Amino acid sequence: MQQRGLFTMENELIFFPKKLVNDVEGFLFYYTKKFPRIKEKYIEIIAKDYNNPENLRILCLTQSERLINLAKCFTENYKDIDDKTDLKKLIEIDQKMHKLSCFNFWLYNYLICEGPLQEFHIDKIKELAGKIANGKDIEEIERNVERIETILIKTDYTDFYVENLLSGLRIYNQLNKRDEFKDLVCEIHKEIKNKNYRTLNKLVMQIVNTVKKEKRKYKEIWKEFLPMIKVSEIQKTLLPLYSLIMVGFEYKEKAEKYLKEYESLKEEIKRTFKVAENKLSKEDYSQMRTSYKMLRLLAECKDLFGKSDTITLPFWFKLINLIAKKIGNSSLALGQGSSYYSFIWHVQGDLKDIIYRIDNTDFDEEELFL
Amino acid sequence: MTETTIENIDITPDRSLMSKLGNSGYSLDESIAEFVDNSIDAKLPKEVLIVKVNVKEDKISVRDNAKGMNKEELTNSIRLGASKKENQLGKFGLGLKTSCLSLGKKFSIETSNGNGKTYSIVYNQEEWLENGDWKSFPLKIKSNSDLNGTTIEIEELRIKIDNDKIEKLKEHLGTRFGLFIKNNLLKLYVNEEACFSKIPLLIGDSKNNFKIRLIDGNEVYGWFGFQLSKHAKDNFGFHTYRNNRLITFYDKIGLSKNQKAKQIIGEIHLNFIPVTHNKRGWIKESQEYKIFEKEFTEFLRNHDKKLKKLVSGLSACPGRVVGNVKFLNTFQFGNSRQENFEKLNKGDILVTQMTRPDMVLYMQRASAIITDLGGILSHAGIVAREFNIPCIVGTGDATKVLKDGQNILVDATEGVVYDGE
Repeated sequence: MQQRGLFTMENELIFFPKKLVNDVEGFLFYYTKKFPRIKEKYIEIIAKDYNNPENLRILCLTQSERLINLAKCFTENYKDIDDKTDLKKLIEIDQKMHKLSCFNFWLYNYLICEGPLQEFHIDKIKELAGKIANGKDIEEIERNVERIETILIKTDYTDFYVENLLSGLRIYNQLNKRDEFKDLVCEIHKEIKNKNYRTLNKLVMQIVNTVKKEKRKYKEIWKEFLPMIKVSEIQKTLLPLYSLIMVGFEYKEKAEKYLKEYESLKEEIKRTFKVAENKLSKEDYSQMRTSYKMLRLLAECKDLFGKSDTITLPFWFKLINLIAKKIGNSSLALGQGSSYYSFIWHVQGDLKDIIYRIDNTDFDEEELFL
Repeated sequence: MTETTIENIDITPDRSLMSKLGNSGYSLDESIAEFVDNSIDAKLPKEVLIVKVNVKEDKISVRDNAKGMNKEELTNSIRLGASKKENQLGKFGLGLKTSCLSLGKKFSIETSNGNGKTYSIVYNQEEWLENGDWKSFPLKIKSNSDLNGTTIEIEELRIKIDNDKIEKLKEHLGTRFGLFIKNNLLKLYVNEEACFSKIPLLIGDSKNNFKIRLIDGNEVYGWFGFQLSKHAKDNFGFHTYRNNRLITFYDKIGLSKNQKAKQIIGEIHLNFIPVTHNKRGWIKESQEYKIFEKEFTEFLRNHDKKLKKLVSGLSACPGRVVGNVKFLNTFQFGNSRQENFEKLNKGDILVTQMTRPDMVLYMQRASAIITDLGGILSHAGIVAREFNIPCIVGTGDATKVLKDGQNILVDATEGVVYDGE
C-alpha cells in the first residue's frame, strides 16, 4: 500500500494495467514490448502524483506543449518525404513517430487519462456520493446518488464535444434571426415531420451555399460550419453538416434546456460540495475534492493532448500511405498501427528488424531527428 | 367428599384496554386507510364517494359523504368487536377504534345519515382512564340538516407529522385505493390535494390479462406485465385485492429470483381467500391459499424466465431501456452512410464501433447507445452523460453480437445488455 499523507492507494493501481478501454490499435501490447521503458515512466508519474491534481496538471500542460512543439518540428523535419523516399527510411520515420506518440501522447492521453487512475477517482466519487445523497425513499436517494455521480464525473469543464453539441442550437438561432432564411426554416420544420431526409439535404445545401457565398455577412454561422465542412469533404458526404444543422432544429428545446442546466451546473456542484462538507469526515471530503479536481483535469488533458492529433495525424497518414504504396498494396494502410498489423507481414530482413527491434532507450528528442 | 360451587364473576374489560389498542402498531398510512375502507363500506350507491383527509401537526380529520350512521351504528362503531359486516373487510369490528387510538389520545366521531339528526361521540383517554364506564358512554344527539356523512377528528396526536409523512400518505392511499379512483368510484384528497392511482410503466405498454379456475372451483383473475427494475429493487410483483381492496403490495407470490433488470408486475384478485384481522395479509395456512399458490406458480413458470446476457461493458451513463438495435457503421463512408443512419428511428438503440461528432443527431434520437470501443471520456460517454442517454461503452464486440432489429434490454446502470425476448 502506498501512503501519501492521509491518502492511500492499493499497490495494484500503480501497477501497469493489463487492459485499456480505448486501446484501439492494441498499442498496449506493442508499445510495452517495443518501448519497455514506457512502463517505468508511467509508474514514475502515477506513484508520485496520483492524488495531486495540481502537480499532474503542471506536468500535463508542460507535456502537451512539448508534444505540440515536437510534433511541429517532426513534421517540418520530414515534410519532404514522397514517393521517391527509400522504403527503409520511411519505415524508420514511422518507428520514430511511434516513439514520439508512445512517450508523449499515448502515455498521457490513454494510460493516464483513461486508465486505472481515472477508474480510481471515479470509484472514489461513487463511493462518496452514496454517503451524501438523501431522499424520502430509496428511489429518490438512488436518483440523487446517480445525479451526484454524473455531475461530479462530468465536471463543469466544457470540452470540444460539448461545444459541438451546442453548435446546432447556435446555428438555428442565427438562421431564425434573419428574414432571408425564415422560409427555409419553415420548410425544414415541415419536412422533418415528413421524415424526408433527401429533401432536407437539399434544404441544408441551400443554407450552406447561401452562407458560403457571403461568408463575411454570415461569419457567425460560417464559423460554426467550418469544422464539419472539412469532415464532409473527407467523408465525401453531406452527413456531418446535415447532422450539425438538423440537431438544432429537431432538438432545439432539449439543447436550450441543457444550456440552462449547464449554466446552473457550477452552482449545483458548489451546493453538492457544501452538503459533502457537512456530511463527510474531513478525510472523505478532502478525497472527494481531490477526485473531482483530478477528473476535471483528466477531461481537460484529453483535449490538450488531442490537439496534437491535428498536427501529427495528417503527416502520419501520408507516411503510412506512402509505405503501403511502396510495398505495393495500398490496402495495407490500416491507420497508425499499420507497421505492426500489416506491413510486418510484407517486408523482409532488415525492414522487419526495424519494426520489431526492441528499443530499450529513453525518450530522446534529439535522437528523433538524427 | 369434595364440594364444588359456581360463582358469577365480573369480567368487564379493564378500562385500559381501550388505550392499549393504540399500541397495536398501526401507522398513519394504515390508520387513514382503515377510515377510507369504512367510508367505502358505507358508500351511497350511484354517488361518487368523496373522502377528504386533513393532516396537521396537532390534528387529523377525515370527512366523507357516505351514508353516515344512525344511533345504533354509531354505538357499535365504538363498541369493541361489534360488526355486522359479513362479507366486507371490516368484519372484525376493531379497525376504527384501533386506528383512532393509534393516532391520538382523543378522538371524536360525528355522523349523520340524512334523517335530520347528527350523532356524535367523543373519547378522551385521560377522562376515560379516570372514570370511564363501559355501560354508560355519552352520545350526543343534535337536530340538524339532512346531510349524509361522517367526520372523524383526532387530537393529542401520538405521532409526529412532517411533510415526508404526508407525501408518503398520499402515495400510499393512491396505490391502495387505486382501483376505486381509476374507476371514478372514489375521489380522495389529502390536505386538498387529490390522490392519484399510480399506473406502472410497462415494457411495450402491454398487459396480459388472465383468469384461472382452480381445482377447488374458485376463480382468480388479474393481469401481469413487465417493467424495468427501478432503484427500489423490491418494487415488483403483484398487488393483491379482495373485493377491490388492496391487501398486499408487491407480493412476490409465484415469482422466481429472475427479477433483476426485467421484473413482473401486476394485479391479482382473490375474493375467496380469508384475510388477517388487520386486513394487511392473507391467511396463508388456509386451504384456499395453498391451492391458489401452487397453481399460480405453475401458471407463471412460462412467463418468468432468466434473461440471457448478450454483451457487457463500462457504464458511461446509467439508465434502463428496451428497444430495437440499429447498427450505425463508424467506418461506412459516402452517400450510403446517411442512407443507413436515417434508418434509425426515434427510440431505437444505437450500436456502433465508436461514435463521431457527425452522429450527434442520431445519438439524440436513440434511447440508448452501445459502443465496441471507448471509455468514460470517449465521445459517446461525454455526449451520453450531457444528455442523460443510457450508454454502455467498451463492450468489445457489441457490433458483432447484436443484430440489426434485435429487441434488447439495455441495463446501462450495470453495464449489461440482455436479450429482450
